[in-house]
Amino acid sequence: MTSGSFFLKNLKDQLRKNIPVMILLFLAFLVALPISTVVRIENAKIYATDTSTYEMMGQNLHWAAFEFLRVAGSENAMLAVVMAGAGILLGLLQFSYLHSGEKVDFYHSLPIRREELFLTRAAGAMLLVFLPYAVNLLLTYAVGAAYGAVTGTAVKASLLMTGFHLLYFLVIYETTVLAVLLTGNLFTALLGSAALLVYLPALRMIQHALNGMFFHTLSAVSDVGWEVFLSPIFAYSGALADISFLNPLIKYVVYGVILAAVLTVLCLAVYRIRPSESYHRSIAFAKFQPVIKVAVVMPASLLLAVAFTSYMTHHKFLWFVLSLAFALLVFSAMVEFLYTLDIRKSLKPGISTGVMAVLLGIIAMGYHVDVFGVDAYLPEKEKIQSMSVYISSIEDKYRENADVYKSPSSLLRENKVENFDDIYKIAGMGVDYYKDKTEDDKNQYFYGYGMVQYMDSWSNNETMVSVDVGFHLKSGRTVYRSYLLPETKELTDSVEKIYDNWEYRQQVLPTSYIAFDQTEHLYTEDFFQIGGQVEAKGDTMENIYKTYKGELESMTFAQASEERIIGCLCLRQKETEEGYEAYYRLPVYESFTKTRELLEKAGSPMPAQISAADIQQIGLSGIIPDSEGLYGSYMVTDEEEMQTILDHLSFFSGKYSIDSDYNFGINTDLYWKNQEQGLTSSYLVQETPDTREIFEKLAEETTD
Amino acid sequence: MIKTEKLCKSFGEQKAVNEVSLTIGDNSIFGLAGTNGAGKSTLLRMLSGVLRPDSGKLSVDGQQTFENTKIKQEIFFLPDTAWFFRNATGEEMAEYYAMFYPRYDKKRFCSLMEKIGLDKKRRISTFSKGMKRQAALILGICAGTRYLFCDETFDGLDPVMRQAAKSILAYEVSDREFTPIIASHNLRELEDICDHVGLLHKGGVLLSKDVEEMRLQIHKVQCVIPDPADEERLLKELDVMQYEKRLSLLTMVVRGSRQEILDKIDAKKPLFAEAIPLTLEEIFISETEVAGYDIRQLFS
Repeated sequence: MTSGSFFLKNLKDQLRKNIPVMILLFLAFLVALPISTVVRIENAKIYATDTSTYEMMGQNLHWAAFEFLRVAGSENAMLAVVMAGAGILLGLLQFSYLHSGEKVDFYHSLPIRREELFLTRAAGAMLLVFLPYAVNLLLTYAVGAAYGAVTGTAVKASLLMTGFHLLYFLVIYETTVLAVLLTGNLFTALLGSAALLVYLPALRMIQHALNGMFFHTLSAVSDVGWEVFLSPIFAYSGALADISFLNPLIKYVVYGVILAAVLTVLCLAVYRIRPSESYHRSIAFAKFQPVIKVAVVMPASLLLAVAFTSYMTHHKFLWFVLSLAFALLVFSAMVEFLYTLDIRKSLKPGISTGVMAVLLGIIAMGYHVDVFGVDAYLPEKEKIQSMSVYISSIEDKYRENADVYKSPSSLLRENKVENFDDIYKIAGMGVDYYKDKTEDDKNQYFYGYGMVQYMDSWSNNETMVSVDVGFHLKSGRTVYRSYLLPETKELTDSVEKIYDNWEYRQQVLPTSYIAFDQTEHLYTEDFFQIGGQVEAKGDTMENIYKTYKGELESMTFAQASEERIIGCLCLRQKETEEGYEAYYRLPVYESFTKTRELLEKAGSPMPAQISAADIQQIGLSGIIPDSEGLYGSYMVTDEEEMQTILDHLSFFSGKYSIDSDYNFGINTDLYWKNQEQGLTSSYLVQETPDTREIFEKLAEETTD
Repeated sequence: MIKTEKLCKSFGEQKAVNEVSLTIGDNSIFGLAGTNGAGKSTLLRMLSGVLRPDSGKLSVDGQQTFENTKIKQEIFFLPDTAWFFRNATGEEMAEYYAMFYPRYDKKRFCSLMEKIGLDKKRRISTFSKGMKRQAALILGICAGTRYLFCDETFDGLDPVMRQAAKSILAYEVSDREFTPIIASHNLRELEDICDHVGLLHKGGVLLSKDVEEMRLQIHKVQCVIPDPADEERLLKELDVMQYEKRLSLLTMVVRGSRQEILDKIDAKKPLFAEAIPLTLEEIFISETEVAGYDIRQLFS
């Protein structure tokens, strides 16, 4: 018999023998594809009248076509789950014969090489998935056609995604097969599959957890894009998340192809050398047992110890060590039991347990004493090429209004400053600040990056400032650190110098990345809600923007901290090729008189002052000053008090500034006399002796 | 021809096959005897390419069998518990085997199934244990391979079926180039079918001999010699492997040709003398006792 006809006969035989599996997969795909299409299109009818929803999504498609595209082509998470499940199921089913002596005798006595057996089975698995998938895809087209939703874009996307889904099916299938080949029974094969699919991300997670527990300055702002490639499951879901943002999938395809090739080679090699008699063992290769034990028990023990210690508030290190020892003994015994199925033997600590105890002890002490000086990291200035800094309280002010999101890590990576003395100085402050901090100090520490933090810090109630720093070394290495520092004069002076350095500011301000020539319309927003689209065209529009740009870029840190924001200038940009429309909201400060003049000329005035005569009353609510968190409210009706508040009102809410005198804990609602304006809220008020006097009246209506 | 030299296989610390050196000629039925755990199944699994030997040499027609498709097309292995696909009929199993064995004879399979009264279209899972063994044997025979390795295949067969199976094997051996190896812990099962028998014990070969040769060369004789002096001389003249005297009846297991032995006894003018056929088990007992083993303990 020729190998070709044998191959086809074998495939046919596999299909015949796996009809129940095909029916199961058919039903799963039926739910994930045609039924899902019906459900989503029917649900989308709710939005159908509101076409702007779809316009906002940036899709130039009919709503039904858009939903069809999402199910059949891009964003079908359920389909990915079915594919991944099918990979695991078929991997286990097709090679579980290796866990049975009788079946091994049968298959391995047949005159067929294991490589051939593997390849025919892998091809069979692909076919077993593809056939029910293809039938359901056709049904999905039929459903889509019934709604008039099938477009060329959707068909192309669905066909491309078919290849993508099958690629990741193959990767997950081969990962499962590898686990089956390495083990000797179904239970350990299942554990092995789970381990191979998520082991590296789990290790990374444990490393993050340990870092989070022991280190204070390791940056949460880092480039973590590569982490999805630690696991095929993560890469698969990462790809689907990316495609929903219209990002290309090429890196996931390349990764999938390489991984599939590597797994094929690995599976073939392991299959070839796997002893047939391994069916009675937990692990097929007895020599690997100690290695696997160490690889499983050590991370599991660390994870349990970190999880347990996270509930402790004091003596964390002691609890960590005790829980680590306990976890080591328990997990070690569990693995031994899996190997031997003998409870007595498993309870007897072996040499490997001793070795692991020593290794875990070294790891624990290494973290405790910060043996690599993670928190004390401050390279010599001469070794630094450039530095970057991300001060969230400054940069988020603009970024949160920008539709084009740039992650803090990409900002740190891109926005390098060669005149970095002041950034270096802040890093030095960070090292000094964290010198004597222990694991227990982290109890009161909100870990992560963000804005200026109000919290109980180690010493007293202080305003904390989040500063992320990147050291771009001459060696080519980049190191990131994250500091949360009290808002001292020394710190704000340094931040001021950094901001007033044009090298930094030009990278941070939105005017550096907005492509104005793509702007379609200008809008304004203000206290009086009199803004709207600016009736200006071409040169006038550009003139307004350029004037604004000049005023914003020449604004100093001190001005930005002290001045009120009285409204915003908004830019709606043209639709990109990908169907995306950017929208920017840029703050207009009180001192931007030239911009405001031009806006007024264009029929969109932006008054800075509100007269108390226009306001019926002002509602204040929030945290009572010096009350340790007591919440109160106060309705200001006195005209003089109202004018005091109005003179210190800022348009942006929730935007924190370093060295700012805004009271972020108090919210302000304006009740306009003009019924059309009604109620406007969520403004911030500067805290001065006059306004503070009014804030203290919040205590009159304490609610909690 | 099958040849092994110092073949070894261990499972963990357990030595299943220990330095087995064996030669099995073509076109004969070879019986592989041994107690449970003697290493019979492991040896057959290595011969059929299921297991890879730890050390030593193994060849079937001059080729090693592990992952050797070409030589494995000449070998069919019937394990002690044959496995069939769930819900498969005999016919479907034959179809499956036919994909791998180029000379698979489906017509003969149908005819043999019919002859022994097994429905080829019935699901094998509904067969009794004995019927499954018969079906497995027929599936193996029809593979058209030169070698058939049967591990305890005759266990569970009723006497009639056992005889039928033996007849089929005998026919195949006479009809074509065919060498079945039958492993069993029961010597009585092997004696009337095997041409050659090897005895495995604790992973090694105790002995391997031609059955007919053993039968022709070893005899059990009972006689009554009136003169005790003659009796003593007779014991010295004959190549006695074992003897026992109860009252005046002398029972001996003697190596040599039947006629020669009886002539020597006749010369002592016996009151009574006769040669009794030896069972294979008795031959083995005698042979192994000479070698220093007490086989009765092995099979007790």
